[in-house]
Amino acid sequence: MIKPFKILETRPEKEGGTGVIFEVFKSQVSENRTTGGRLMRTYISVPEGKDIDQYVFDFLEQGGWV
Amino acid sequence: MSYGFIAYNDNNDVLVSSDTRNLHFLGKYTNPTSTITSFDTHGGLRHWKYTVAASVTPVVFMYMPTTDYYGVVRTTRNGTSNFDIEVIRSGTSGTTPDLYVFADPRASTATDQYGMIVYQNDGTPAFDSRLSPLAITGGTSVTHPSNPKGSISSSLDCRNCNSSNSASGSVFAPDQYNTYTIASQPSKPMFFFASLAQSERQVFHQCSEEECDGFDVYGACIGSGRYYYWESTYWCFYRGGISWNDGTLRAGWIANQFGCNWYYRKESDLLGIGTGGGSGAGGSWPYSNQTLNLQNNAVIVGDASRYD
Repeated sequence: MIKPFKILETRPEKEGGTGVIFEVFKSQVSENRTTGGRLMRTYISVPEGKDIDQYVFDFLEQGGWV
Repeated sequence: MSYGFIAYNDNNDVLVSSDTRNLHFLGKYTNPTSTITSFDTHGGLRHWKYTVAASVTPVVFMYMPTTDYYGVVRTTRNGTSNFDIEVIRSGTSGTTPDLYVFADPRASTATDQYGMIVYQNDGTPAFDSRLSPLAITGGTSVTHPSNPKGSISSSLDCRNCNSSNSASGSVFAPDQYNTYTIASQPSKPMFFFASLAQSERQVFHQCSEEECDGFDVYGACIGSGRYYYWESTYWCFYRGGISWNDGTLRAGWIANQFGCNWYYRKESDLLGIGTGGGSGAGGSWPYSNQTLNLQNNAVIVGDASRYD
């Protein structure tokens, strides 16, 4: 998987899952002669047994980031 | 010890002892003295202060009339004969909890002529049957989930904290809880719960934009152009609470504070030569993504109707 996000920190959670702080960047080019990008840094709780990269990817996909 | 009094129940638990002070009913408070703060977004918050008359440290039980989350967040002395009790509740209704306040018998004076008093060895009362001793009907230990919310969604505005409180409120409204069952409780239970757990969640949004009035050559602007940069960090701070719904106890979260911090910068140039710019910042800084005090938190239950 090509990861469009960067995991900055992970921490174990009491219930067995993993707390993940990550950031994601998305570049944007619009027709009115502007270019730019958006970056988000946030926290997500990944349940025990789930693949962290896939879980974060799915979350970002739902939000339209990837 | 050679002298004193001790009474046990069938389970060999101590009911009354001359070595410890029992709690006795001091008063019922149905109206807060003041509202400290409130908001309707982020799951809602009502933060009240009750001033109760007590000469010794009171122990407060709440009757929770709704299925929202409640917690006692602070008890402080107010002068020589009062204490201030701060209670928070999630949700947006105006319904207030009733507080049932207990203290050791030194805080009260009985007027009945008959009853039983047990004294400690210093001559002060440890138990007085005339003062409505606290009767406990149940209890448990709760912990709060690690997260108020499983994930913080990505729909907020990166520019100058432009997203409304309503928009950030829907992002941060807590929805995680742990469930406990306490069987055979009275129809009007009252709960002792001192909120310990705290949590903070935040989402950082950054965006930039470059406007080019000249020619765009391989991504570089030839001519005049402007560069904009924005940052916004939305955050929410939570306290642990409990809710009661027909025999089911939940340990969940109450949004206690929220805010946003922003930063903005603008640069202009002409043929690569800077022609001006500006920047700004504002808002309040958050804590960082943390959850604290996820300890076992005692919940004690009594029958409020005994003291009405």
